[in-house]
Amino acid sequence: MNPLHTLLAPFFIAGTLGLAAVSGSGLVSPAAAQTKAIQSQDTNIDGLVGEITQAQRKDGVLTIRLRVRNTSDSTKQIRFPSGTSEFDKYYVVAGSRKYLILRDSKGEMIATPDKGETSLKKGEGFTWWAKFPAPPASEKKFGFFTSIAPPFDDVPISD
Amino acid sequence: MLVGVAMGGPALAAYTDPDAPETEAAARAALPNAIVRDIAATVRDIPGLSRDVADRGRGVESRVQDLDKAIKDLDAKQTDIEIRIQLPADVLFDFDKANIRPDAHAALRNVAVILRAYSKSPTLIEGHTDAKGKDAYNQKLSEQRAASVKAWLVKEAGIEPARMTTRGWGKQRPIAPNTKPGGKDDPAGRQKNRRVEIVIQKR
Repeated sequence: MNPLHTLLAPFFIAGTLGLAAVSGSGLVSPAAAQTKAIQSQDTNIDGLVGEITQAQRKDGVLTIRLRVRNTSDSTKQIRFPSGTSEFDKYYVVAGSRKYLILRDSKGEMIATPDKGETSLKKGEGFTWWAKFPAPPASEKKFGFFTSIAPPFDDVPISD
Repeated sequence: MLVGVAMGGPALAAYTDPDAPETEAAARAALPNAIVRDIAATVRDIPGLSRDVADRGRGVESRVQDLDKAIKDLDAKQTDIEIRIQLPADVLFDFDKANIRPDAHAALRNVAVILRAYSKSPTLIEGHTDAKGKDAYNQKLSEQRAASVKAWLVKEAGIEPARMTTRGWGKQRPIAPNTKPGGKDDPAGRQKNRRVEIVIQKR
């Protein structure tokens, strides 16, 4: 690599990653939205697709990432949970038990912070996440219930 | 990553990255208090319906049973005009703190049952301390504790905030002597004085 390349490389890398910058949650570009979906289905809003991209069990905690993508040609609005009662509509069912989102000692949900109404342009996506108490190891699949789509059934858990 | 959010009270944590060590640590720490319910025994509100409407759907008989049980469990005192609930501060809060302890949730859920049954009733939440410590400190602590109870009822039980008023009395309204006749400390009396009282006006 010549000296000019060495100088420009960090800018090129930053520019490439700029659009795809995803930390835990947030708006993602179409490129970043290519993370493989474990399960997907239409949401209750025409043109918006809900995709589970992570269902990871670790140290007794189940982390779920739910990406919503706008596959339509127009901007769409969708409401993510804001306030305890709305967060409680997002839960996991495994066996005959229901698991609600974990809350810290101050009662804060361990999930994407209160989001509320979110606007998604054509091709744009948003990844929402939350942590739940993990079902026992004997449970290999779960149902995921939300207020934005029909239930996601038989989602495989990765350990 | 953790972000502090000022809410007019203590700063609350907001979690922005599920993979951050702080987030994972918080999740593991939250496991002992995780909410896991047996589906067969759970009755949930229907999304989109108010709690009152959902309660009506469960039937009047069931509501009356819930109310009677809550009043009994809390040892609430009823008159024609009010229901008075006394909650020991030692159950609600840790020493010198104003954050609701997880052990207090069951009692507060019972309070919520009564508040829902009297859904139009103005409610006064009063904090009281014992006589130990400085007056100003006790006054502030009693105000903070009353406010914490209200905040819990709003956030966790969905009670309308506008109907609840809070007030702190510090050590001004004891219900038991703080000292024995000889002037010695009376720990049992002081324990009774450390409390939150909830007064629901029937109407």
